[in-house]
Amino acid sequence: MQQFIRKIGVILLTTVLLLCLFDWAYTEVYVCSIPRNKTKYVLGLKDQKIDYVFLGSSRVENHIDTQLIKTLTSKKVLNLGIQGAKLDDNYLLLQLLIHNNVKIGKLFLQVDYIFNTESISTIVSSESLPYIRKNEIIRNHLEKSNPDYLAYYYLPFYRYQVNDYKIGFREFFSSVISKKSKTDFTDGFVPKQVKFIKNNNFRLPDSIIAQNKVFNQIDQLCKDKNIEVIYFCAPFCSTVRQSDYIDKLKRKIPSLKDYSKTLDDTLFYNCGHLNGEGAKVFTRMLVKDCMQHEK
Amino acid sequence: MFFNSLSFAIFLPIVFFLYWFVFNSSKKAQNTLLIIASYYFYSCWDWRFLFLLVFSTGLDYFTALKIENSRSKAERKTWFWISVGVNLGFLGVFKYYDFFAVSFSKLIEGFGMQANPFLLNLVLPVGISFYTFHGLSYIIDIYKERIRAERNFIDYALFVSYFPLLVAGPIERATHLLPQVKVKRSFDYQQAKEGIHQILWGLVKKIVIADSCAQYANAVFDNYESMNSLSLVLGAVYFAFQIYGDFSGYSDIALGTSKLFGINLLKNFDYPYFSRDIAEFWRRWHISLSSWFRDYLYIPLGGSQGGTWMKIRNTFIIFLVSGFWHGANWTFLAWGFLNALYFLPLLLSNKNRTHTGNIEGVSFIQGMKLIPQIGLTFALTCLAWIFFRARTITDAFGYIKRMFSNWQFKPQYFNIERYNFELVLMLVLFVGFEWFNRYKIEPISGKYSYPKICLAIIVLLLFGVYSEYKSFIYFQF
Repeated sequence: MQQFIRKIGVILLTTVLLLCLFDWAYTEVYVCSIPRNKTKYVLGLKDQKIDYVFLGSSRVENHIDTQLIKTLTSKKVLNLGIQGAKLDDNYLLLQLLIHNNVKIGKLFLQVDYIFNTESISTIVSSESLPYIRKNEIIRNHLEKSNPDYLAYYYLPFYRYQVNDYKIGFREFFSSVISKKSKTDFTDGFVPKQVKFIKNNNFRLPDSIIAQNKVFNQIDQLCKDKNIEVIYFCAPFCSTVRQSDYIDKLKRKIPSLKDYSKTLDDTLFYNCGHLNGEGAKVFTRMLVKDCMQHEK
Repeated sequence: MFFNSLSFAIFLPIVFFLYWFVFNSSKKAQNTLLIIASYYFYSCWDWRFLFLLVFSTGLDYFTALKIENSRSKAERKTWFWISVGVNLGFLGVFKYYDFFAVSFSKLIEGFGMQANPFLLNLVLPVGISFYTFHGLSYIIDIYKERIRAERNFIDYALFVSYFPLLVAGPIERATHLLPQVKVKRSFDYQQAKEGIHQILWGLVKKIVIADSCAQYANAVFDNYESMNSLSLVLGAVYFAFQIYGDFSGYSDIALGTSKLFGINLLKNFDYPYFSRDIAEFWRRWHISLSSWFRDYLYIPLGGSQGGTWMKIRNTFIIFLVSGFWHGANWTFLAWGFLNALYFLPLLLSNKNRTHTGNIEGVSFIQGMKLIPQIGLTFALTCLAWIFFRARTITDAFGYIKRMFSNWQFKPQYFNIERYNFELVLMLVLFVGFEWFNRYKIEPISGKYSYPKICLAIIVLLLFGVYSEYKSFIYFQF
């Protein structure tokens, strides 16, 4: 039995040592690597002014043609929309921008059914985990919002294993070889293919929550930092327009610019996402409504 | 409580410690602890089904004694059919009732009549197919007078409910397991060491191979209408390795865990993807179930004795029942039917026992013969797996039709943000590793075991999938 216990001890010790080694190696690589996601890109932005910053989900990433805005307005624009992002992700990115002394001329925040989600998201928080011990903003944000914070902070390599989909070996290896991301982060716009894919299952929620804590935090932060913020709802295809959810949302956010019913189905990739052509049309609408007078 | 969960990582050392340091005075103490641990383990899923397990155990224990003590053949038969009927009745109600009700109502609707079936919508008790078959094999063996009925209830209850095999097998036989639980076990370092190695290798198969393949297989099967031929072929291959890694990984962990308690369980897998024909595949895949069906269904039906039609009938019965055992869905029946079609030519030409031994040292010429044999068997198996994995028969045929009609073989980017070919290298390495260790129960034991343990841990830590928790496929059966 003694021999067996010794063997188990050696296996456990080996495991712990390997965990510490991998944790150190992954963290060092992510800290030193080129930006391969928008979180890392934002961490690298320092002491500069960006005229228009767009925050949101894929309904910003696929919809806001930053190059077109630059051409039309000659202003500096950044699309920080991330596929699957929630308000919690947007809030963390905004805090990082402010912390890095990035002056935001006007902030555009896309709000739709994500208003109903207060829970933490795994998108930006996963991408920010390598910096949890090095960045105060990330540490504070995750400490307040993430129930796994203590495990992420103290258990070696745990954060990389649990979030292997975002920051696991595949991403680590791509960072080691400095493989460039398909997205140009200075632009941030990722247009969808032209084809319209029917998405009849997509539905807006029937009800709306009384208030969203994270939304209120974003709103308050913008007020505190004197950042002009425009809330908008990007277009949806015709099959979801019967819903009165957006009307309810407008009652919660009176200043919301509602574009949910503005575009024809032919300009969509699927019910919630415009195709490349649709993104151009929608971007022009936004420029006309919110930026034209600033040209 | 899954074998690859944190709770099991806490549960197992506690039971191990109590077993060898506190309850080690007698066989009775050891078995009592294992029973308590097993019932706790089972109740972690749903404690309500524990009553079903205890009832099933009690029923088989009681009826077995009644069968043995019967004074007449009729009485013996009556107790036998009571036990079989109740066991299969539970299985039928929980697993198959809704399927038959829906299928029957669809049939009625096909004749233009209105049908509104009454559905039970019951949750399937985890492991019911496994412990029911446990009990059935015991009852049949008693009835056929192959073994004596067990008098000690704790020993019998442990035979049915022993936690390493409780929820997904291997399906044990009383002749193999009962003699082991009837004696006090003493600690054997070699056995325990092998157990740890087998657990480690099982975890690699499950967390690295099966769960990685699952991501890709799901991406293909869930969106097969937009996949090209290359992705569809790879999807079937990925699923083949997913189910192999998942189930054989589970079996390895079960066998390894059991070795820690001094009990050897039946081998369930023997490198099935190195089979040279389908008959060999079925001798190497889910061995405990295949041999169960062979001994308790195929042979009683006449087996391969008798005329051609009898052989054909028996082959189809055993494969269809095997398919249906996996689940109440036409896809499983189609999977069984297809395997029967594969098996039949070998049986009718008396070639079903051509390849019975291991593949020994292979020369170049032999290799040239082996590669197409193994390749063809694997391809046929993958084709059948499509039915096993697809949600419906229509989906399965749609998948196969597209695979053979699209004819595009470009790398495709999945919605999981991965290319279709990305896992191929990992699978090639895995197959190579298994090939060179195909004579062993697990590849870690033997020379250089410590470097191999380190390698297994590194692979587990770096390539394991931990983000999306997935249970074992066979828990649903």
